[in-house]
Amino acid sequence: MAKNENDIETSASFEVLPPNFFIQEKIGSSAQNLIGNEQLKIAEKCMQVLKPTIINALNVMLHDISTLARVRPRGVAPQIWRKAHEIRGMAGSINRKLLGRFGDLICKYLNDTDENFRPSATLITDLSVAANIAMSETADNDAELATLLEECKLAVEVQKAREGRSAEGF
Amino acid sequence: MSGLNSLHVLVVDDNAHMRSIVVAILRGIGIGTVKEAADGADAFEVMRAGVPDIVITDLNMDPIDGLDFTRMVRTAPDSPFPFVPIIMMTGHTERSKVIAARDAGVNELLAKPISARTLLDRIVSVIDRPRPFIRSNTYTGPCRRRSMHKDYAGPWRRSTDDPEEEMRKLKEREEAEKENPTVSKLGDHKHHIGDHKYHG
Repeated sequence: MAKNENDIETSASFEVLPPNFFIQEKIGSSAQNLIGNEQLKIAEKCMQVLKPTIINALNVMLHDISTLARVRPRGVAPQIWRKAHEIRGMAGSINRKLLGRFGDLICKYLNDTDENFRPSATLITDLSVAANIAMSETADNDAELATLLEECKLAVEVQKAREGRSAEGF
Repeated sequence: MSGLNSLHVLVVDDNAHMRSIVVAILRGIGIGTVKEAADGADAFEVMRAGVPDIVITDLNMDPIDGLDFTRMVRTAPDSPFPFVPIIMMTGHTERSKVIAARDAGVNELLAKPISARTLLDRIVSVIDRPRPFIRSNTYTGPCRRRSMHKDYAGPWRRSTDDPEEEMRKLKEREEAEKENPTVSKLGDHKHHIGDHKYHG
């Protein structure tokens, strides 16, 4: 163990342990040597293989969001937020950036709300429909969808203002 | 056994699809043992059964999120391996969340959406550029100092510091202090280096 830290006139004391290269020792090389372009290509292929499964999962989540917005059970806002949060994380990983932005927009609408909050069913439904359209492979390059995203951003701000939750200056 | 095949990585995420992406990448590049857990509590149990070399965890999980899990790993008395490198995946890249992750003792942050490249980069980083480990009353985890302050004279200023050279300098300073107590001390803190062993 370290020597007694109380022998110095300080209120805070700490131990510093040197960097440990135990993983390098275990693999017998630097990671840079073992994880190069070849491994990157393999990793990208692995992600491609999973793409259809992830797209299915995203479809299910969007459907769940629409249902939750319509039924509005207790604690609906955190449930929708959570699904939208997963969508924004997963969508980008399979190159559906615009879809991720719609997921982000749903999260932004529901940020700082609690389980008693009753979100606008119309807005959530509109956002999930728009997100569904953004699921297509060409969506990221579609100018009309980019415009739709901007309009949805505005709709979220307007709705938040109606609910007294608008950002300053809106 | 050596090479990536000898590595053991634990992936913690309550979203099975995100987990499957990470697991597929890790298995694809030849990592030998990849285990999965759906939340922090589950992960802690998996760690008890076999200590991983690297943990990749999501931030947002129920009931124990990635931050609490990281704190448990770093500070719990029954933690299987407080020094394990932790890579945290998160969709929250706001400054407050990044600071919270850093202060919990995370080694590397991986912003979502993740890509194969960013994931592999973080793995290379924790293996090839490990940082000193700090244990104090208020923080346990990898050294949070990634840049050098011009007024800081202590050891371990950068991850590239040579441990032997820094040890030698530290001992020289301590000798000088013993001989002449008026010699300036190492800031407000005392560093203890070299008399600890990692468990890994």
